[in-house]
Amino acid sequence: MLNGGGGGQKKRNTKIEPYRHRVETDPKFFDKSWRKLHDAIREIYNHNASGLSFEELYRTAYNMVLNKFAPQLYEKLTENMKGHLEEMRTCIEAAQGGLFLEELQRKWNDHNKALTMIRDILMYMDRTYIPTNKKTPVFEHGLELWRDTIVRSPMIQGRLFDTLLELIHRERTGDVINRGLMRTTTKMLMDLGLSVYQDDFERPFLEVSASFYSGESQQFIECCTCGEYLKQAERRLHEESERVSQYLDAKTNEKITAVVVKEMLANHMQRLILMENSGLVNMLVEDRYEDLTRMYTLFNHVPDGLATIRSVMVSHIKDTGKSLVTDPERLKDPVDFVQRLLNMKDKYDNIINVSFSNDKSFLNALNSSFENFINLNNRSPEFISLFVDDKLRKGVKEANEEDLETVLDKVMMLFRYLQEKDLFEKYYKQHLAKRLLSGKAASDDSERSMLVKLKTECGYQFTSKLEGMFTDLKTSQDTTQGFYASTSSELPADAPTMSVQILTTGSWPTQTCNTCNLPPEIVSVSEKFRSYYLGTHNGRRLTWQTNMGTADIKVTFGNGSKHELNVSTYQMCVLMLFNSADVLTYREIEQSTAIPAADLKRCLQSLALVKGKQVLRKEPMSRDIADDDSFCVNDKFTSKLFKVKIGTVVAQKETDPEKLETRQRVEEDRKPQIEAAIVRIMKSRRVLDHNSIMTEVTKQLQPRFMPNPVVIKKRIESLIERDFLERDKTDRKMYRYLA
Amino acid sequence: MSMSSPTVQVSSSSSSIIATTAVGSHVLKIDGYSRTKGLATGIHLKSCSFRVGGHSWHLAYLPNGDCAQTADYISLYLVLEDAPANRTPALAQLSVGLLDRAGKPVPSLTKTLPVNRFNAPGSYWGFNTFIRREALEKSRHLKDDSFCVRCDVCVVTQFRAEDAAARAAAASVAFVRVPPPDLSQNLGELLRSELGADVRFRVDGEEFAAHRCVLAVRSPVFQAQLFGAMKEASLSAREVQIDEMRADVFRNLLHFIYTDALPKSEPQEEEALMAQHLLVAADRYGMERLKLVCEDILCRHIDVSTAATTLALAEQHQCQGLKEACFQFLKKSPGSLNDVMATDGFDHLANSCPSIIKELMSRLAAAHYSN
Repeated sequence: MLNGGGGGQKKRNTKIEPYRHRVETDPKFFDKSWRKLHDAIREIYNHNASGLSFEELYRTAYNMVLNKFAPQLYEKLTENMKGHLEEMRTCIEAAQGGLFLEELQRKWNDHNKALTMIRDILMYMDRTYIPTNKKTPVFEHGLELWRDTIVRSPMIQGRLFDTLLELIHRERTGDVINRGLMRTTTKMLMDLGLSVYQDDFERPFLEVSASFYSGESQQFIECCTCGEYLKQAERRLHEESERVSQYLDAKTNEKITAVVVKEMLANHMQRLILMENSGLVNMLVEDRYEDLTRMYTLFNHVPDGLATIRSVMVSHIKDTGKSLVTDPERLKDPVDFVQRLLNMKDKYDNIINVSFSNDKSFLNALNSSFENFINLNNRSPEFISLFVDDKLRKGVKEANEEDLETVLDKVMMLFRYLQEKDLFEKYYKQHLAKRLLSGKAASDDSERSMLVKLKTECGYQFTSKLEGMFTDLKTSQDTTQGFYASTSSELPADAPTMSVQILTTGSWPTQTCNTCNLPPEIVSVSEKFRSYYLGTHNGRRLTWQTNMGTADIKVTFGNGSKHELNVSTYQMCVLMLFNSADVLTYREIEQSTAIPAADLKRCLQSLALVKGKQVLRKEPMSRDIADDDSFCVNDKFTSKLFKVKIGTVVAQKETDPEKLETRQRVEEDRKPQIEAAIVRIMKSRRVLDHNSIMTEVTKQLQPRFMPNPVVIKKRIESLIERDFLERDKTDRKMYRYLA
Repeated sequence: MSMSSPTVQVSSSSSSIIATTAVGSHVLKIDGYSRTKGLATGIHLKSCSFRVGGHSWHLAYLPNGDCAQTADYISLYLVLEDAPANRTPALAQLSVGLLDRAGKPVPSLTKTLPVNRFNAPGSYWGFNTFIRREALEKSRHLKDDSFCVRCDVCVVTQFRAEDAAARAAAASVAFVRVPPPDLSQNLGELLRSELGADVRFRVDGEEFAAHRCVLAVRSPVFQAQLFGAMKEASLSAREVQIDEMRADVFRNLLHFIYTDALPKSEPQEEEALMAQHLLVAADRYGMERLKLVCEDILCRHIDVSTAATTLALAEQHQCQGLKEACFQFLKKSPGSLNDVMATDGFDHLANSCPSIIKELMSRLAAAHYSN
């Protein structure tokens, strides 16, 4: 009997073979494989994935794709997922009332988790078959099925979006809603594709919102003031932005803002801005910065919003300004007149700065408004000059130099608005002359600072004569010192001291030359000065302007009281007569002094009729002065002050005849300027037509004044008569320059 | 009176001459390579100009060599275009490399020349035998009738003196030599030591320990498996069973996952066979780079015994380059085709990929008529 021997174990064959995929011949291969996947997907949707083998499922799908069953697999997958989604849809549709969104959200989470796992086990198909055949990847495909099967199903779509819009409506009317649930629901819509969110939700949301705000705005505008309404609109805008940040897509913000702006602001813009008792005009009048800021900010969103606000503001400023500059009552006090203008400018500068973001278009509108109404009153140049005079006079103690500088800067703003700057120059020259000659200028620095501002604004030519005035005063001081240095030994010990201001003709306002009869004591000194001056300045001519000037006189009255009187030169001439006469009639005084009647009467009124300053006594005691009225020294004169100031020379608003005279003089001065401009233009152009000359002349002279076309025409005729220009032979509208 | 002479203080210093250089490179793509083959020997095509070291250069490409002796080669030359300044010749070192599909120089096809003088406009220097045309056409770097070469130029711009102190300061950096990356060795050691391993695979009767994180970051399939929601992702899962894969293939797969390289212990004749298996594994686990590495290996090992099987794999796993290489092999020699058709691999091909047979027939027919 044989005994089988047990040897060692046989070694396993490890030879590597060429790789060959097994060709699947089993006719049920696909069905068996799909059954595995189908059952697994069911477990996945039933939250039982933890028991599944990824390795087995992935390999099954992998083999199906390798064996060319990918198309069938993709189709089966679609049907299968659709089936699961239809089951989910049934559950969602059955949800009652408030649980609807929660159920939808729960099922959406389930679907996403399932999709992630299904995509993972079908990863090989996603990577190979799907790109090659341009199919939708598994995950995106699942989202599309959810969109079409659930979100856009007939019974869910309407209910879903109605529910969302209803919740938003409740939040708008004060309820507290579940924002987290809203956020997850809208996020679902966005995950399904931005077009789903935009087409299915956002568009109806915007439509419903437009309707809501249209209704609300109608309701509020009937019972609210403009300020209250805008505050409500602002609150709604903030609420909508908050809602977007909480649970809507960020891109919706711009769209919902546009809706609120349109329904609450744009559609009611005119009514709001022009609202009686509370609209823009009232806000401006009452300096309601907060309301104005809100109005500016809100209407910045509205097409033409700011343009409308600007337009209404301009109208209001023009109306207010016009009534200010044309009010007869305001014209009585030039300083107050200008101060009100400055206050008005400050007011609107503040409003634009605080409430309108320093908007350049508003600043420009403000400037053009002021320019418009300031020039409605042709006395504005004079009044502005009087205002400056008031500020630059001595005695303004409450204002320090810095404040003065600020005020002058502001005045320059008004000056820029003037169209007749040459008229201002004329008045400024007069007022400056009076300040300088009466010693009333507050400070040389301030005066020169003002000159610098004017020069900066209008150029050297504008201020050259004004600067000449300062030069004259300096020269005069030096000349007077020279005079006394060289002639002191020739003068009697009791001779009065004289200070002379030498005024260059042309630099100073033109004055009528009225030389009165000076007292003998003064004549002797003045003639010595004349000899001295003409001796050192050949070819000069010296004329005394006795209507300008002051004198200090020491007086001993009959009752023994002593005073020093500060009077004008004319008043000095009158008073000196009483050293040799006790009583004088008006006629006698006039004959002795040769002072013009108007000046003399005013002078005597100051001396005899001003309470507290009655140095002379008049018979009879009447305001009017007749030729036979008599005057004598008031021996009973008393005053608490040793120095008594009589008859201050104060710049005053012109009377109507004076105003007319000044304007005529300004018009006269404009003629040579217009001619000079015409000659300059024609010299460079040689040949030019009538209208072009008009345009060019206006353009050149506009910085100083607006030339009158009639005057331009007359000046052209004058130049033709004087052979500077000639008319073209063939075209009478054409002019030629003659060398 | 005593006199003393001052002591002379002698100081010493040293310096060295440094050649300052400027480096630039230019990539030249030959698009429509087969159309350039018709040019006569000695005819050259110019690249666009490029500037390095203040000079203007271009490459000259001669598809049929520059003379009769080099007619079988592609010649490449660097040409100076502008006149050197101050009559001094331009000094430049040249390196030209053929680029692979990924745009990187192929080491075996990169050539370098030492510094040469370029005296005048038109001076040239380069390689008259850069690559044999036949070798280029056999390689996988000729794709869609196009290939690229990169030219690196190092121009000496100036010689300057540098004193010893400054040089010592600069040289101190050289005292510290940072070795090349050793990440793959370290990770390979991690695989071998199984330190911290948190998952085990059973493949074809063998067990392999690995780290979930490493596998997940290297393969999207492993990531889904080990960090998803099914049982393998559970930390309580002790072992993952993997079917339909050889143990040695899985071992090499893990090796590549950790080291980004294939082990070199294989006998050369078995490299291609392993590459077939690894290619399938790489495609299954979504590892694109490994798939391309295997595809490249297989392209270099197409012969009568493997052509049919390789073509089947190429078709099944969408390896377009490999598929093209197989067609080229079968088309080149009709004798090979007959021999391939005699193998049982061809029967497998016909069974598993009937459509490829039709495609092969139409290509062979087209090749026949063109001859």
